[in-house]
Formats: sequence, structure tokens, C-alpha cells
Amino acid sequence: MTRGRKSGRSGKRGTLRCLRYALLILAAAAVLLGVKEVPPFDAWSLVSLLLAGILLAVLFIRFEEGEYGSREVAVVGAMAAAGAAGRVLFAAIPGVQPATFIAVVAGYVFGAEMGFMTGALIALLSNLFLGQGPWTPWQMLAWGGAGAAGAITAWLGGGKARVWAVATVAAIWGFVFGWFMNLWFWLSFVYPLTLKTYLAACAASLWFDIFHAAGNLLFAAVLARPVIEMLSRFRARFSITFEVEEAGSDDMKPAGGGTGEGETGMFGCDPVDVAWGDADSARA
Amino acid sequence: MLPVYREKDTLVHGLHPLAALALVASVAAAALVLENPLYTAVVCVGALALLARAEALADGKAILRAAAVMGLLVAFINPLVNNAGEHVLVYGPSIPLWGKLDITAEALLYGLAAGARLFTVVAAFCLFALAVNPDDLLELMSRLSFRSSLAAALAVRLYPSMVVEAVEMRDAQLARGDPLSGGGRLNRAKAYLPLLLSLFQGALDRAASIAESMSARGFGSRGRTRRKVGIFRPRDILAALVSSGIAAAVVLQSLRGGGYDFFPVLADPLAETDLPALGLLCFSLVSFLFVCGSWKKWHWWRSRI
Repeated sequence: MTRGRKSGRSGKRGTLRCLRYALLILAAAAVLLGVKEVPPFDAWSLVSLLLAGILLAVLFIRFEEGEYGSREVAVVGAMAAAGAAGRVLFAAIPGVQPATFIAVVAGYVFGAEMGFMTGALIALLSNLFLGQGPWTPWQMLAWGGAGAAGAITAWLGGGKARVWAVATVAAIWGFVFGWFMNLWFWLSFVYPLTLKTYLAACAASLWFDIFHAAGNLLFAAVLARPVIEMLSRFRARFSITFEVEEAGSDDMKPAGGGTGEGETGMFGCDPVDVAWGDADSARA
Repeated sequence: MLPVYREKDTLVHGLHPLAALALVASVAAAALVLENPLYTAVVCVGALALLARAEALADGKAILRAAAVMGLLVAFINPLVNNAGEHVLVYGPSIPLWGKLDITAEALLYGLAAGARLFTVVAAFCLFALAVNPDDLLELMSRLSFRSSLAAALAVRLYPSMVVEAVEMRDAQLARGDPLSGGGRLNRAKAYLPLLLSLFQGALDRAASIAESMSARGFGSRGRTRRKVGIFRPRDILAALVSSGIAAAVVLQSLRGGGYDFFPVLADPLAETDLPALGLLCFSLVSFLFVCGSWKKWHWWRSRI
């Protein structure tokens, strides 16, 4: 099983790429029509929901374009289930969302694309139990963003497990999540759309945001190290490297750990290298 | 925890997921775009009637109650942040950096109308959550996004087994004398920590074995098989026509000026209404409600659609 973006299935890849560009053009057209106040795009509640949906579709297509195998898919599913279970378990405590911490950690260890998918699926699945609504695409984007932020943290930290960095990002994301969700609420149900009214909406949710940030900080402080170690072990378990013993010999033997040339397997490259860019170029 | 999908013998439950999605999307779009209170009232009643026809009103009570609270919150926030409007109900104090905190009748009514729109949107999504089989929906999505919908389907399947595993581990920990139920919160949290980690490890192990099974069955190879989602039947075409009717009504009213002037004084809701658009909206909703009712009563009709 290999990963990266080079594959013989160029036809399907081309179709997906075309679809992605078509969606981006559609999003730009929706914004343009909204700015020009062409009905029914003069309703920002509809345009913003449309934009959130298109952005999600584009990022999901990006995940489809990557050659993720059964292990990556299974890991994303397992992490999303754990996050959704955590969110449902803590639903009684307003604002406390272990889902954010799990998305950040998933991004930290497995990279931005898998982190994003984990975060987005946590929102989608937990809302099956907590209630779907027009907020679901926004939550998917916000928690997906937490996964991507985790990957950026790993990249900035050189791939070393730094609990304080994860805790800081998780805490900051507690506020970012709230402000992002307020955007939907503000665009749809508040008049007039001014900075003052947006700040008022943020002020109304401040307590929830503080609880969310504090909860994330607590989860990260207590759980970040063991969970990162566990996920890293899991990543290493499915990384298979092959070393050619001598020139001209066909014998190859598996070697544990590390990354390097000839490596294949699910999490063959360093998590920070798997960020949105081309995994092949990251390996080079 | 809120109620989830349950199989029921209603027309809405028997719809193709795409047709159901179109219906819910058109109702939600109508609630979001049309600010005229007359439209809001029609769409709100229509959404609740659809819920009743889908026999989901009782199941959805908890969701609707939460939506009503959210709607009231919207109604409460709007007059506080917006003092536009000519009819001042309460002269509030002047707050530094904020300005006057006057509460006007127009802002209050705008808040109530916005709250009602939010309630309607949630009611539409409630119908979607309670009457559309998530498995069918995931299967439908897998045609567009194979890996992501597979990951979602896996997570849906893993979730209940994770809960069972958590309960078993908790019982084992209790049997060993760990202070899971007694002691202070900090002690309990400390005792829960290894349990959470074990749960996480168990999920990853299960993911590994699922991955092996998927590989053994040729995951990712060409020409995969798929479970067939129900075919598009006449009832789905009817639902699609109704959705198109609602969407057309939204566009018609929008072309006339979908917005409704709450400020500086309330406009006459009837004067700002495009009667053909309102008629089309009412006809679409009522006709589908009639089809839902008749489907239940008349076996001949039921067999035809």
C-alpha cells in the first residue's frame, strides 16, 4: 500500500480535480452574486451555508484524491468514533468538547488531511446523536480546522511531541471555534451585520468559549502525552520500510521505525510532511 | 441524548434519501431566505405538519424544545444589539463604547421573527434526522466520496461497540476497587484516565483489524460492489416536484424582494408578499401533506406510488 498522489487512475483524479475547480468557481459566483445583492443570493444566511458546504466538499474531494488505503480510512473512522463518543459523553457540561482535543491530536500525529477528516467526521457523527442542523457544516469546518491546526503545530515543532504546544493550540481553538460558530449565527439571525453586533454575539457566547478553552487545556495537559505516544506507536506499527542489503541483490528486509527512501506503508512519511501539499515532494 | 432515526411506515420514511434531502433543503432554504413573517409562519406550520405526517413529532419534541430555547435567545439578543426602529418600548441607559440601550418594538419583532426562522430550520433538519435512514444516506454519499463516507460509516458502526466496551472496562475497574464512583471529582477523573486511554487503544486495535479485513477483501481495487439504495419511485418524483415548487416560490418572492422591512417601521406583510409565490408555496406543502396522508389510507394509491 502506498500513499501520495501519483497513481494510474488519472481519469478519476482528473474528474475530481475538475469537480473541485467547478465548486470553487461556484463559490466565487455565489459570493459575487451576494455582493451584487442578486436575489436570492442577497440572503447571507443562504450564501454562507452554501459556501460552507462547498468548502467542505472541496476538502473532502481533496481527501478522495489522495491515495489513502484501508488503514488510514479505518483510523479516521476510529478516531472520529472516539471523538463523537467523547462529545456525547460530555454533552451535559456546556462548552466542554473533548472532540477539539482529539481533532488536534489526530492532526498532530497523522497530518492535516487526516486531522481535518477526523474533526469533520466527529461533528457529523456526534450530531447524529445531538441533533443535525444548519450548524453541522460549520462545526465540521471548525473541528476540521482544529485537525489542520494540530498538523501545523507539529510542523512548527519539528514533529516532536510537545504537550504545551498541543495544549496551547487546543485552548486557542476553544475560542476560535466559538467565534467561527458565531459567524453563522450572526449572518443568519442578527441585524444589522456590523462589527458591533458580531462582537455582541461573541460576548453572549463568551462563557461557553471560556469553558471550551479551559476544557481543551485540561484534556491536553492530562491526555496529550499518552495519546500522542499511543497514536505514534500505532503509526509506527503500520509503517513498513524496506532496505536493500547490497547492490544487485533482490533481497529486501523490513526494518522498523524511521522514514526514508523506499519506505512504504500507511504512515510512511513524517506527519508534518503530509500537510495539504504533495506527499511525494515531502518525501524527496 | 436526542432521539435518532427509527424505521416507520410513512411516506417520508419511504422516500429515496436524495428526494428527502431535496425536500428538507427546500424547506430550510425557504425559512432562511424569506424574512417576511407571513412566509415564516407558513413554512413553520408546513415543517411541523411534515413532522407530524412522518410520525416524528413526538420523537422530535426534545429537539424542538431546544430549538425553541435557541429561538428565544435570538429574540432576546437582537433588541439588545439593535436600537433601530421608531417605536421605543424601553429607554435604556447609555453604555460607554456601546451607545444607547433602547429597546424598540421593531427590533423585538425582528428578533422574534428571526427566532421563528431558526426554529423552522431546526424543525426541517429534525425531519431529516428522524425520517431519513443514515445508512442509506451514507451509501448515497459513498457514490460521491468513497473514502470519507466509508470512514463515516465505520465510525457509526464503531460508536456503539465503543460504548459497550467502556461499560465493560468500567465494571472491571470497579471490581478491582478503583474509585470510579466514589471520592472527589479529581480522584474520579484520575481513575477514569486509564479507562479512557484503554478505550482509545481498543478503538485503534479495532481499526487495525478492520483495516486488515478491508485489505483482505480487496479494498481500493477497481469495480467495487455496493449495496443498492432503493430505486427512484413515483413518490420520489412527487417529492422532487414539491421541492422544486418550494424553491420556485423562494426565487419568485426573492425577485420581488425577498427581504421584509422591519426598520424603521414595520412594513405591511401582505403588501410585501408576492401572492403567486405564496400560493405556490402553500400548494406545494399542502399537496405533499395530502399525498402523505392518502398514502397511509388508500392502499391502491400506495401501491401506485
